[in-house]
Amino acid sequence: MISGESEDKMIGSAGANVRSDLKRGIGGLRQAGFWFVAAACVIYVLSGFYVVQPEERGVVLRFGALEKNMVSSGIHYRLPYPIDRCYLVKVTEIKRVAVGFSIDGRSSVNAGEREVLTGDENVINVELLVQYSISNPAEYLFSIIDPGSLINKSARAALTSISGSLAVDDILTISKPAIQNEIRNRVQEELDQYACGIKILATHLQSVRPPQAVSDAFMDVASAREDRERYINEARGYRNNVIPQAKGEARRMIEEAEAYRTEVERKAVGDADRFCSLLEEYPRSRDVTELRLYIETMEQILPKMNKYNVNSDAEAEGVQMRYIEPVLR
Amino acid sequence: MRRWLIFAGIIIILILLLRSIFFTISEDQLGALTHFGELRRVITEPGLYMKLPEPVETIRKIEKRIQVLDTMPVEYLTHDKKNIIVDCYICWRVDDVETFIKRLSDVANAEIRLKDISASTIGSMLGRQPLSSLISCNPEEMVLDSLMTGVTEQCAEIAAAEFGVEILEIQMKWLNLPEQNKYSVYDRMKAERAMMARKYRAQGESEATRIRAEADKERREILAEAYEKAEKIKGEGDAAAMRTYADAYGKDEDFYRLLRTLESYRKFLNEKTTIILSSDSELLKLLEGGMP
Repeated sequence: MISGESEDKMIGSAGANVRSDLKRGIGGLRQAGFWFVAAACVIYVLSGFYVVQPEERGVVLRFGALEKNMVSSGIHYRLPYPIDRCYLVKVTEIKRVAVGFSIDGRSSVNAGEREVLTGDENVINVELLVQYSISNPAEYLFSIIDPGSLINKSARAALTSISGSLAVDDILTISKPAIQNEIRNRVQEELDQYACGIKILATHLQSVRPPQAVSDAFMDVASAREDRERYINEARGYRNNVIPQAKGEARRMIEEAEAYRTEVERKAVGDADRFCSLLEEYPRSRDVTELRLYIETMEQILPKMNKYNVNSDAEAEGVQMRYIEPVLR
Repeated sequence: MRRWLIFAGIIIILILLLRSIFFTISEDQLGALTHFGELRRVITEPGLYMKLPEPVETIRKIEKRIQVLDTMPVEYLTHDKKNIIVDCYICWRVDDVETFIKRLSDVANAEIRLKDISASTIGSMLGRQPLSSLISCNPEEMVLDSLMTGVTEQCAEIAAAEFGVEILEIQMKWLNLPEQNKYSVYDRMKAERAMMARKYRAQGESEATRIRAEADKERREILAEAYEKAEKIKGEGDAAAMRTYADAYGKDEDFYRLLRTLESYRKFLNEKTTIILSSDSELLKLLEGGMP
């Protein structure tokens, strides 16, 4: 435009000098054009350089056909557009797919989305998180539209099928790890079947809960289970109290019996020894000893008692009684 | 200057011509080459191709990748007349480009037709099954997976023959009861739970009673055993004592009688005893009669 305008002006003034100027001007323009084209060519050729970040892998297509897959990090060259095209895919990133809830908490999930029917016709709410990463960028890009959506649906389908074969109690309590594994296997199998270039890292049952309407009833079962344990533990406590007590009591009885045995045995031996000692001396002076023992005994006991003496003469009229104050001492 | 403009013009025309003659089919595309609207060639391999310029030949690019289609939740009736709501997804891709273009022309159309086919097939297949074969704790009864395989096969046959679409899979991603049926389900769930809670508590109580009874029994056993042992030990003691006494006292029974009698006098005669002695008695004989 600028060159055209200046040309009109210059033709108007129609001078020889001007003509030569014009020639020089065109020559200048031509030179500028050459440099411009040259620069454009250089820039075009240089546009083939691309950088792959450490967390990325590159995929190069030549005329739409796969040329290179899994280009590792660093600076690389490809032929410029429109011959080669380059895609960069983040392979180290762990992507997440939520089933039955939303990861960022912003978009609301339909309440029915998390409802799952169990094998015994109970309804429970399940929230599932699937983590995956891209293992093959080319397959990831070119085998399926929106792989994340397939993972979500596939995981949901696996959940429907698995929970449909289990009783509600199994799902709520013991089978959780098994369910997670099974879902992961199923989803991975499906993805492999379609060569999606995705590896499922983990499936995690975020929450498995009975619906709000029946949660009280479920909680009561849990507390009933605890009650059962409590009753049993209390009874065990009773036993742990009673049995040692009984054992202690038994020990005491036996100890007492043993003490008694020792006592009677020793006493008998003692008595026997004493008797034997006396018996050794006794035959030598049998009558005297008898008399002595008799009198000594009487001596000891009679002082303590009230005593009446009765005359043995029965023919006498009336009984003659004589009150005796301690006689012998 | 004119030459410059002409040069630029030629370049532009050349580029347009090249773009019209050369085209690429990418990894995720299928190509349909039409000659004045008539399909001439189907391209399935990616790469660079040539054709006659527009408007003689035109290229149409069609998605080659697998597409995942959500059917909407639909209410069906099972064989045992139970209402269920089912939501499926379909994995499909364009297989036969010629048929696809003729019958469906585009993806939006394909999705509508696929939904129709799947809904009717699922409906007829579900109508032959009781609910207990879709959800059951007994793995032998449960035919959900094989049912969906059957649905996939039937739909795949129709879709392949009629619109050149390959159905890879139809899966049931959602199976539920209609909203109005849920309340009765909730009531049943509550009743089941209440029963379980009662069962657990009763179990706990009976177990506790059993443990207590056992403990009591064990306690009595321990005490009885101890009593037995204790009595035996005492008996042994008594027997040994008896033997000792018998051995010793047997040597002179009369002397024992004397000693023992005198000893017992000491024990049972005390301050409260009043004794009436005959003057004949050994002790008082002298008192009355004087020395013999």
